[in-house]
Amino acid sequence: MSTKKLNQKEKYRCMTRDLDWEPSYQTKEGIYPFERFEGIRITDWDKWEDPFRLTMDAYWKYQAEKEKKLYAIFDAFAQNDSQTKISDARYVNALKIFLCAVTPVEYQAYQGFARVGRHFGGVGARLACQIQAIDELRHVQTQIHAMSHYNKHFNGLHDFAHMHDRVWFLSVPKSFFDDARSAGPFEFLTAISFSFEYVLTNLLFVPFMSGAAHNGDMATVTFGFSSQSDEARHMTLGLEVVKFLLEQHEDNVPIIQRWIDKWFWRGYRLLTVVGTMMDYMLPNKVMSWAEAWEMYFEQAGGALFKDLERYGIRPPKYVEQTTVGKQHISHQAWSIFYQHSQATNFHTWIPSDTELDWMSAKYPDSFDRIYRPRYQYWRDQQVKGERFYNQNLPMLCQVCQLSLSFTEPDDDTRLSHRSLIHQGERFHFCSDGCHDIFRHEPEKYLQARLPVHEILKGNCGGSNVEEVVRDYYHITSSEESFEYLGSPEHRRWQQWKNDEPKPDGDLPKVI
Amino acid sequence: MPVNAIGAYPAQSRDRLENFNGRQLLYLGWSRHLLFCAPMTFALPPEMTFGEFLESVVKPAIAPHPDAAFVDFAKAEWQLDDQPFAPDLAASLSANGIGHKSLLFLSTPGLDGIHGSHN
Amino acid sequence: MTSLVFIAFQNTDNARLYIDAIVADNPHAEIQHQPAMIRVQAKDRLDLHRETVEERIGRVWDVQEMLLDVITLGGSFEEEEDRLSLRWN
Repeated sequence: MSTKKLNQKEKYRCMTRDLDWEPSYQTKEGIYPFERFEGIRITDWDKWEDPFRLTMDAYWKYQAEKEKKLYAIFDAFAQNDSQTKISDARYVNALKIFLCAVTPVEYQAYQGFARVGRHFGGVGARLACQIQAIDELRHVQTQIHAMSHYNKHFNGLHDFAHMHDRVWFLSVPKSFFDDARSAGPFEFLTAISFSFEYVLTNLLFVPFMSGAAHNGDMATVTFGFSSQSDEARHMTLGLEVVKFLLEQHEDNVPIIQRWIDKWFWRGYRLLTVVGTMMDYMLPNKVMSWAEAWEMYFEQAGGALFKDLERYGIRPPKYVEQTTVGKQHISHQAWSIFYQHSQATNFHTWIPSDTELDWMSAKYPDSFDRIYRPRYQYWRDQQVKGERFYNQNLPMLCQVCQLSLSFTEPDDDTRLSHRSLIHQGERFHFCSDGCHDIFRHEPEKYLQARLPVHEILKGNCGGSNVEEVVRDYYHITSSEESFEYLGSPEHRRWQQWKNDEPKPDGDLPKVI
Repeated sequence: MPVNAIGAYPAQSRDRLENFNGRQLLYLGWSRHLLFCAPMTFALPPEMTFGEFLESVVKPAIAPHPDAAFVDFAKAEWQLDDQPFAPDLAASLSANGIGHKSLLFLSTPGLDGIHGSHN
Repeated sequence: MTSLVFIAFQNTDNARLYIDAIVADNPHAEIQHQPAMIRVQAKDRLDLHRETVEERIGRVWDVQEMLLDVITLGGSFEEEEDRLSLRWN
């Protein structure tokens, strides 16, 4: 008798839906107590579709194969001393941000999916969340493994988990995920699976990673693409989640719309840092931040929101401001880091002439008018031996926790600022988007832990920035912080490259 | 709107005045001078006079900017929390109506940043 | 505005065969080469047929094997026994 092989659909049904059971001595409401408080109405969990129909056995098989490929490349990278073959040591500073900002939020994503997976009544959703939780944990591990090799040769990578919880700019990604994880299970899914994974993560994991390859970093591009191959599943799921929720009940539509508005804006602000990594920290360029935004958000997102129109969903609120912002945000963030480099675990620098020309060409509406004169001044100061640092603490947005460094959508010479008074206390925001998020749930955001305020309260173990950086952040600033040119890392790179040390003020060559 | 939560949701502001050890927060921005990436944050005693604030806080804070040397504070224009503001140098910050987490913007007409680039 | 679907693969040996198959099945597809990756975009729809891949790869191929080389995709994704498709409705 020949045994018939199950086809994909049957296998998926047997190995997911069939694993569920009807509770006999507890109510469903008692088992899934958090399914209703957000106002989302689910009428039939069986309508949930996982487009990849991935079952656990297939999952283990494919993930194991991905891991084998990935670790073979890590080994080859290390054995070949490939850290000496990257385009320029400046590039590694992007990895320092990545390890401290992104890797810990992958861990937060793991925790988030592990939690919400417990709280859905539908078995398809529970399984999808379980698989995604394991994926996210894999991303944490592979990223740590990939960058542990760089940690042997470069500064600033030694204490990423500690830094994630404490260093000022890392409160931006940390608070983003804290916000999502402290929301209900459906908001978490809309925030992370849809708004973040589907709409925005491509910008980090595709053009930036392609850029890593272009700069000779095979280890990073490989973990990046390997992570993103999981994300391809997550993204698909994110879209299905939103469609499922919208189809379940019309009452869900305004709730989902508000979450899309909120999480699109939060994600857009978070990606500011990625924009800076792309434009400034990839010595060999693939595409500009603005071009990446056009390809992966405007074009792809445009098609997506056109598709969602039939459910009554419109593009995210304030999306038009991002069309203006894409000309500015990477430069604005680089300016933040450049002048506060005394308190970062990575170096900053003024781009070379070739790079400045590239930016002038890529950002014709903004760069020569605003940012190039700024960099020219800073470079002149550096040549005079007076490298510019800002010793003052910046004012932060109560919601996204970035400093108020963005300009008004209709006037790029004026800082954008919104404020409101809530129960007698004034709160400040960088934008309409962040202002609206606060106004909707003030009790949540008035608890925000803003790093600058914590320093001024005396909660960061020091009376001045130097002590905070050393004792509270665990950053050895003489090694890790300040200007790149002339840093120990720059000198070591020159030695690797058998270059004569260059006089101060010289700029690295662009390859 | 209240937070949509699974139970009672008591919340207190983390940055309320009493948490700053007798000081209050004051933010300072300088219009048309984007060289400083954002307004600056200070924790100051509310009894500090505006004149003292000008000398011991504002001037050193903006000193790294090449325009700083040319600022004529007698002609400077101020905005306090988005409203035009005429400070009384002899009066305290509080008496000037500057509260906890107020935002003060300095405008210096005629000075438009490095080569007029608003930097 | 036309709606584009897209899929990107790591620039691997397998992926070159997938791209070859996609081009055969989707004459309207546009191929873009970027460092370490290949991106394919097309108006409204892209299909990848198991048979077309098997002809090129010379063995039995499970559509889910695509997961090993894919980086990202855009569009509504559907997986059938013999075909993967991306489309906007």
